[in-house]
Amino acid sequence: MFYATLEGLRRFKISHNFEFISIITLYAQWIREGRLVVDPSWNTEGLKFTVQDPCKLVRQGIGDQVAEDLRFVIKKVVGAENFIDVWPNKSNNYCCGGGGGALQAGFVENRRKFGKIKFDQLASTGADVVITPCHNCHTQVLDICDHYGGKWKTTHLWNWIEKAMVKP
Amino acid sequence: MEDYPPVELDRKGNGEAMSNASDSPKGSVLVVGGGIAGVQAALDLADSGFYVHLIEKSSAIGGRMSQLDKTFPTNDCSACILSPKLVECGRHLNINLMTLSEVMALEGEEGAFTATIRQNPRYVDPAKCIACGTCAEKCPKKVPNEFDLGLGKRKAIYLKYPQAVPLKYAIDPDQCIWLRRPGRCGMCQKVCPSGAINFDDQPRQIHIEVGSVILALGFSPFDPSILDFTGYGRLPNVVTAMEFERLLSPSGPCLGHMERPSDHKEPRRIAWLQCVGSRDINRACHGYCSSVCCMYAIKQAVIAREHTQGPDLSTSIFFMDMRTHGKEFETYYDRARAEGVSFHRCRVHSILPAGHDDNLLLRYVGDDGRIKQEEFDLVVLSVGLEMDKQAAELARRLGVELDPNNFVATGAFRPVSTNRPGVCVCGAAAEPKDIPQSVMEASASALEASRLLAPARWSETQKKEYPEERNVWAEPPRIGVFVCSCGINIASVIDVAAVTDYARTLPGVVFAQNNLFTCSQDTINQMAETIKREGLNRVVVASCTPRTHEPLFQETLRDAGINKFLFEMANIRDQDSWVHQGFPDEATQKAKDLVRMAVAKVQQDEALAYNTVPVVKRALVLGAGVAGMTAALSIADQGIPVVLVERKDRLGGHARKFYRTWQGDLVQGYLAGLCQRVEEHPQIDLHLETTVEKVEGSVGQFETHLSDGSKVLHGTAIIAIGAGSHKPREGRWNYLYGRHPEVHVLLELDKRFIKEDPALKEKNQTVFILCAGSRVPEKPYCSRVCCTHAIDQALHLKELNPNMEIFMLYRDIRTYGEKERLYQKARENGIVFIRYDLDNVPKVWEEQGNIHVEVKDPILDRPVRLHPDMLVLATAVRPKIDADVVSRAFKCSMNSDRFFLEAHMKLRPVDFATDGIFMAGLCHYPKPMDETIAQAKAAAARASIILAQDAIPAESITAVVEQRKCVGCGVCTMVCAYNAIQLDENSSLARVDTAMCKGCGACVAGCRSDAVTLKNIGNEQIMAAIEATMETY
Repeated sequence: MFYATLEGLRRFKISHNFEFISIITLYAQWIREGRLVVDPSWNTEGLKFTVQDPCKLVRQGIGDQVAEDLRFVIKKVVGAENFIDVWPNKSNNYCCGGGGGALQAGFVENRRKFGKIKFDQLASTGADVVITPCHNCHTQVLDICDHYGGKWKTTHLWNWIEKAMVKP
Repeated sequence: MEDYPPVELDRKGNGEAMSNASDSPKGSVLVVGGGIAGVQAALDLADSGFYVHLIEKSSAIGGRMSQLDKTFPTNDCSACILSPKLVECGRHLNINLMTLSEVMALEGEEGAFTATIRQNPRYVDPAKCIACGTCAEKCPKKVPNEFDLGLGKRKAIYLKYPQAVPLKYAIDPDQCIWLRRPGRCGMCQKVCPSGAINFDDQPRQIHIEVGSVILALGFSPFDPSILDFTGYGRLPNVVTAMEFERLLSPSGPCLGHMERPSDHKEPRRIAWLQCVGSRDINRACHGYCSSVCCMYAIKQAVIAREHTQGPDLSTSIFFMDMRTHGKEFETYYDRARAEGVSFHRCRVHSILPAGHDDNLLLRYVGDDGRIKQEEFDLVVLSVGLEMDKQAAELARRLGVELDPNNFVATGAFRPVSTNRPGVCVCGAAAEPKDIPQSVMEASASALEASRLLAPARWSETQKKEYPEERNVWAEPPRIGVFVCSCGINIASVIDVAAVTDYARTLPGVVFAQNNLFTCSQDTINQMAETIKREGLNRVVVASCTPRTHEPLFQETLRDAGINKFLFEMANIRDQDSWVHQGFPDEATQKAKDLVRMAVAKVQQDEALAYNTVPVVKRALVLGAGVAGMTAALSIADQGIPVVLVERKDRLGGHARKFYRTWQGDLVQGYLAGLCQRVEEHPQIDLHLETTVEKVEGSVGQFETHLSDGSKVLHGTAIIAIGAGSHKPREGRWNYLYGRHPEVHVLLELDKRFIKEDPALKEKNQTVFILCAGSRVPEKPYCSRVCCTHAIDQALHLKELNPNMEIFMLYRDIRTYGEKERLYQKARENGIVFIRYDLDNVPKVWEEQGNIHVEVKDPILDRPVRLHPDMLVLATAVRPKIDADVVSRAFKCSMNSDRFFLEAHMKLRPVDFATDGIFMAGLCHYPKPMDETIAQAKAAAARASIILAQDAIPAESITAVVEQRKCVGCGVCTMVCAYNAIQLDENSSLARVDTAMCKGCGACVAGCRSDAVTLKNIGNEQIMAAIEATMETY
């Protein structure tokens, strides 16, 4: 939805009088403005987090700027010291391998083989949690973690915001 | 995918913009943009009798070309070939150069426009500025230099680049300390020796009246910072190609020692990524191909290897299709591969930091389909060309329509006309293109203006008048010596006062003077006065270099009534003070030696005649295809008679076989209109079924004998004899051609389109084989048009039968420029493209009347078998068989592929080296209809420059044969590149045609009997100078 709309506006030069941004950018803005107050002190166990940059959101979509916002929000929510970035990252991050209908279209073996690159990359961070702000990446990362015996939890971003939210 | 707006054809039914203007149009033209295209258009117009206002928004002309290091495919130094044109433009009596200026509005209509120009303040009085550079030296404010794309620094008062025209400093108002806070600095004002700084300078609004407008708005290089995955802007060693040009350039930030930005080390491994900001409809939003990047990347790789002079420099180019579609480009590509540049057919996605030494890591897929990882020291992004945003704004302001890619919209049959009558466009502002194409279009747009304004020719121009020259032959020498300080350029090293005193002691010298700047306007005036007052009859100037300043001083002699050849220059700056900075005593000594030599030589100089040749005001055009007819009409419409000669019994040439242009315009209707205009034109004398038998004479005075017995006197000639398609009747690329009724070459399919053959709709499958016999050792060149034409044919077949299966077997798809949209559309329409290479060429055979094709698909990595109803072969465009005959008759040369050879690949694309003869169309190189028309108009423009004059100047310094020494051996006739020296039929001795002689001296060096000399560069003069060096003082 997000990418299709963005790309439609861009490629066909459709004039519009609204701004098209990701909720992640808004989270970041709200946190900066103090309207959304988060506190990482819940993370007493020092859970380590890493992240997946969805292709349609970052590389093909908005670019590094939204990836920076994503990292800003995660660090605020889980504590900067608990964030381990992947490499390569942001616009140069690897594709999860589940997009383009791959999750729905059969060819499971091929999809997982492709996903091995992603699995190795994520596993090498040693993180306990992988945050994927995209339902498609989420399903694929969940699946390759299970298939190749990964030890992390795969989650969306909002779960942790909820955990860290403080009443102002 | 948006379709382009329908092309509005002509207003008179045949694609030619005929003038609606009144009978008394203005005789001046506004040229907007001072890049190579604008400069060429201005020079062509000013030389053919129109007054030109040249508007440039920056502080100096030269445009993008002045930023380049070398140019392909000749590896010429860009600044060196451009500079003379800029100097000519700056000095031209009929060009009003307005820098720091913008066009704000344009009112009126063709023939009578009023333009409103805003001239921004320079804060330096150009009449006073002597470009000594003291101001910039003392200016405390350092800012990034945009000429070096921010890689280097300049001051707030600056010269745009060393060879800038006009050579005048300017203050950057955004950076100047004084202008931002008056009273704070003012250093430049304090140190300027000529009081040129004017902080109170104000913007001016100027209204000028012109008859026509030419837009040469240029392009902007694509800014890759929006492509995050390239790391541009974040990783210091990722640079754009334009930045790399500056890194290579001797006038660039690292003075030509190739360095990478992060640590100033010489890179050992460089990668080029093609199509950055081109052929990318995702983030870059530019679907078109930028046409020039493949070639410039290869050039940069070749030049980078020359810079390091070592085989251990690794150069890799990552590309999708290699587009080397221009003249001599394919050979250049072959040579680069042979020299070790590696080419990878792969679009690399990410540039990653390698994690150490600021190096970069690329992952790519090799030919074998495996992922490879390679580290590089420097990555160059081959950025595309896009329409400059301000230029697009300007076009809109002037009511000029843009196409969906934001370039100025033009049409196939009117390639340089905009939608607004009287406003033309040329260069990259209409579509991305290379320099020769831009130069061609510049001349073509000059033609459109001069066709429109022909009645007003010479009405607004000025003519220089000189006093009558004094005959000094019998006078003893009275030599004046002017020694220049060149600000501090000479005086800081050389003791100029001592040199001046020394000059006074030399024999023959009656006057010597030292000047701060000999070239400044007041000194020049004073010099003319001195010549008259002192009765000088010979002059020596000891200063910078004759390369830029000799014409200026020679003109001063003429102003003072002295023959301009009684002049010598001693080069005491470029060849003395600049190269011996650490040795002032020795440099002063050398300056004295140089002055002594010049004085000795000037005594021997003779007054030479200013030769002229009267011009016969008639043009001969050879070949009546689209190029020939367009050229003939372009000249005839200006009221100049044309003799049009065609070998066949009808007009139209190659275009008779053409269905439609790549823009989608039907050719036959246009062609019929063109033929009709030619037949009916009162100024065109048509000779069908006629060939040229013999050509005599030279520029201005040709005499041509035709096969119908007539003899034509003409001032110029345009050769437009066209080309043909290769028919592969035998050999490796035969592919059943001539043996199966459904195997065609491209234009045979066009014939079936024209006839509306109903059988075409019934085809189930068609296969095209591209490069059938092209780009192979036997025919090494690329025919430029076939990819686009074949794809357009495939699209037309799809229009006829949407269910037809179409396969295109290709090597590289070369739909350059905006033609890329056809390639895109073809893929959208389900046309399948299969690449082959020379190791796996397609196999074709026949079984029971059916055609079978087998080709190896490199992606599937297995053979694919096709069973088409029709097979179309894209064969080479080959030169005409009689090209050799024409070449011999007109004494003009051909290249190794037997296409005609232009005088200069880059800057004289329609001129032959032989003066007065021009070329257009396919005989120059394969090209599509729009480029052919533009070139024909360009040839007509170049010819019009000669035809507009009553007489043209000829070289004064020509070869002279001393008859009693000549033995008639003929060596001189063999070495002469201009066919200016021949053996006399009666005496068998050498004879020089002074109108054709360029004074190059090849015959002088070649003569073994010492019978040939050059006037004023003969033994007397040279020996006098050499003997002077031996003298002690």
